Amino acid sequence: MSKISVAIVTPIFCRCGISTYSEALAPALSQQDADVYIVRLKRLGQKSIQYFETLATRRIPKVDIVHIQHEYGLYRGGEGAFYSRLRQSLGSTPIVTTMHGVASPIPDEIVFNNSDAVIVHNEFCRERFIHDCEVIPHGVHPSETVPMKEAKEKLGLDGPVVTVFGFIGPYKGYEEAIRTIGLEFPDVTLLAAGGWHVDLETTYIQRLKMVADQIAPGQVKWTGWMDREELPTIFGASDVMLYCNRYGTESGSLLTSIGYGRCVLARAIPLVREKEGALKTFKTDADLILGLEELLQNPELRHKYEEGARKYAEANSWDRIAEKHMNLYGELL
Amino acid sequence: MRLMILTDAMVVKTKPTAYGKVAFNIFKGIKDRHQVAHQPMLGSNKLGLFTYSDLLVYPSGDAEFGEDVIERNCLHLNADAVLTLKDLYVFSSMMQLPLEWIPYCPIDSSPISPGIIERLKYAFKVVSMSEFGYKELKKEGVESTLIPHGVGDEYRMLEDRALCRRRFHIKPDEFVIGFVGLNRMRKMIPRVIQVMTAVRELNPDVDVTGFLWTDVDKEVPLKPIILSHGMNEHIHWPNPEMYKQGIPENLMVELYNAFDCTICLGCEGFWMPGIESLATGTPIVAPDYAAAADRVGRGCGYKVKVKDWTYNNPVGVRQPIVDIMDAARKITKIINGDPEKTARRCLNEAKKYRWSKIIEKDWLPFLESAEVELRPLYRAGELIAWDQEIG
Repeated sequence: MSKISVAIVTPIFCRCGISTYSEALAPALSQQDADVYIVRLKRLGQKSIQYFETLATRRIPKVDIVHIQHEYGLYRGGEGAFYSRLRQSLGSTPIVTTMHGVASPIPDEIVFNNSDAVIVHNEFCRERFIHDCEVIPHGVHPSETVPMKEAKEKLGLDGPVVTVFGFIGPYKGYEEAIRTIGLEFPDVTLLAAGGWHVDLETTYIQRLKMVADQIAPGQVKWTGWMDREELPTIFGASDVMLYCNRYGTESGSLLTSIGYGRCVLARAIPLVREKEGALKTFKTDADLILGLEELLQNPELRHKYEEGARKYAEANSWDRIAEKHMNLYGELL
Repeated sequence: MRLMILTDAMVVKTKPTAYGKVAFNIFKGIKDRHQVAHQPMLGSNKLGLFTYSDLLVYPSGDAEFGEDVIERNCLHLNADAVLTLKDLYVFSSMMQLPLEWIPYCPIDSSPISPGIIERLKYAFKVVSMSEFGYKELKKEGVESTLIPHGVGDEYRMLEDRALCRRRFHIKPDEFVIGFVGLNRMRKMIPRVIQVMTAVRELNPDVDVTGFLWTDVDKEVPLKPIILSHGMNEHIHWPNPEMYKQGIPENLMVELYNAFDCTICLGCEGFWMPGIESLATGTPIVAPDYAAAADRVGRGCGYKVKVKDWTYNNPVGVRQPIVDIMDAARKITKIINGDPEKTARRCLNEAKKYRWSKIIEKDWLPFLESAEVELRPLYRAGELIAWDQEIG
């Protein structure tokens, strides 16, 4: 295919999962002979109809394909204004939308009606998004960690370490993680590796810290928001990654853990079940305790899941994901 | 980049504020490479959209600090970002607007108010204007780019300083301690008067006088204070109406040339008169606190000890109360020093504040790096900025 130009409408260079996604996809696409123009969508702020109209009509350069990274929270009902003006102003230029969340009927329909192709990340999302769509998995960066001994020394940790990684929000199951570690694993450190989008702390994080002080005193270490350079150390120090999210459509933090080749114990929600082999799942609190005990006591089992994670990461590396995007773009042009 | 500058009026008033002057110089310096527009604050532009010397001037809106129309104006301009040059506590809704906000923020006290830090969390980039501000922000976990204000080339040491003195009715043998600034409580002008009095008492053989380039009738009534110190015959001040209207920039240059030193005793976010004074070869005296202290380079003035602190000001910030006698002794050192050597050092120090240098070394590289984040283009794995004109 000859060189194509793509404009991706997305938040960028900010504390946001969609931003992190685009920061990985865009350079990978550019390595596949595409010029990728990022049209910056403001992550925060009360966006007016005028904002979306300006974004759709005056901020998008002349390119071959326009690709929207959609998430409900970014548009907050502005889909109607944005997509209708975008469709008008682009004429026949194809519009591709990646739905990072699905199953909100009205926005989904607006997006579908105005897009030439819609991408979702997995089969679960394909089912929930009731219109036609393509599955292109969320990419993974196969990455190396700092050796475990060195990483633990750097972080001042000793003994087994279980890590929960990502933005700290109420649906991420931190309570279960703290309770399990505090009540069942007195010799284990729980590394809470993450923070929030704009602040050092939220009220919720403060409450979690109070809970941790009561249930697991001295066992929980909070890192706060981390720069990317710190991640090899964080993952290097982790014997097991714990993913307790109660729901989700796809998870950049889970895939980052997989990308670092870590052994992951994850709640068996649909997006996780599709990755069986790359990680170990749990359904109930009892499963969680047993699974964690098994993984912490059995290095060979951990190694098996680490291998599984590496294989998944290779199969879904950003290069391969970019290739799939390029194929889709090619079909639309 | 398309940049909207929200600050005091740059062009529509006869007497620009320091912020207005700074913003106008930034505009002049970057306009060949970036498209700049301006929304003046404080209701300055009720005329509607107009162009003045290549500068697109947007309406001010009804809100005092222009927050009611800034989004609309930015969308009309299709601005990549909005640069604000104003104390941060004036903003109440900027953080909620979907704008890429670059506050060029004065920091004039330590610790920084949590209200300021809270606002900065929503900024796209933060620019600090002093070493003091940069360090204080860093302490609070806010990364910023340090870009000092600049001084225009018209600020220079004039050959005939005696003529400058005659213009302002200053006798040739007076030793003049100058003050330039608004009459605000936070500027601590009564203390400046006390220092002038103390220097006079310490040096009975010298005709020490003061020059208050301010409105003596404004926020703090200064005339009774001057009278109470018996300084009414030894302190000059302008007619309030003349001060209000302002005088041409070349006369301000002559005024600094007429001073023997320029003083500041309040807490400042930058202290523009400090660099204007240095650029005319006149030494400066500032409290050893906040950003004014950063202006005092080696051999071109003195930092005065802080004796105590006060919160007695409208915005409740911690302000220094300087040691009067220390200030008086340090000004005495200037009286007894070598004026030519001091002037040389001042002129040398001022070189780093020349606008041409600040624009080339600081503003243009900053805007270019911001542009890469505002309009990123990934080409063959490399990250550059895309040209908005492509649309």
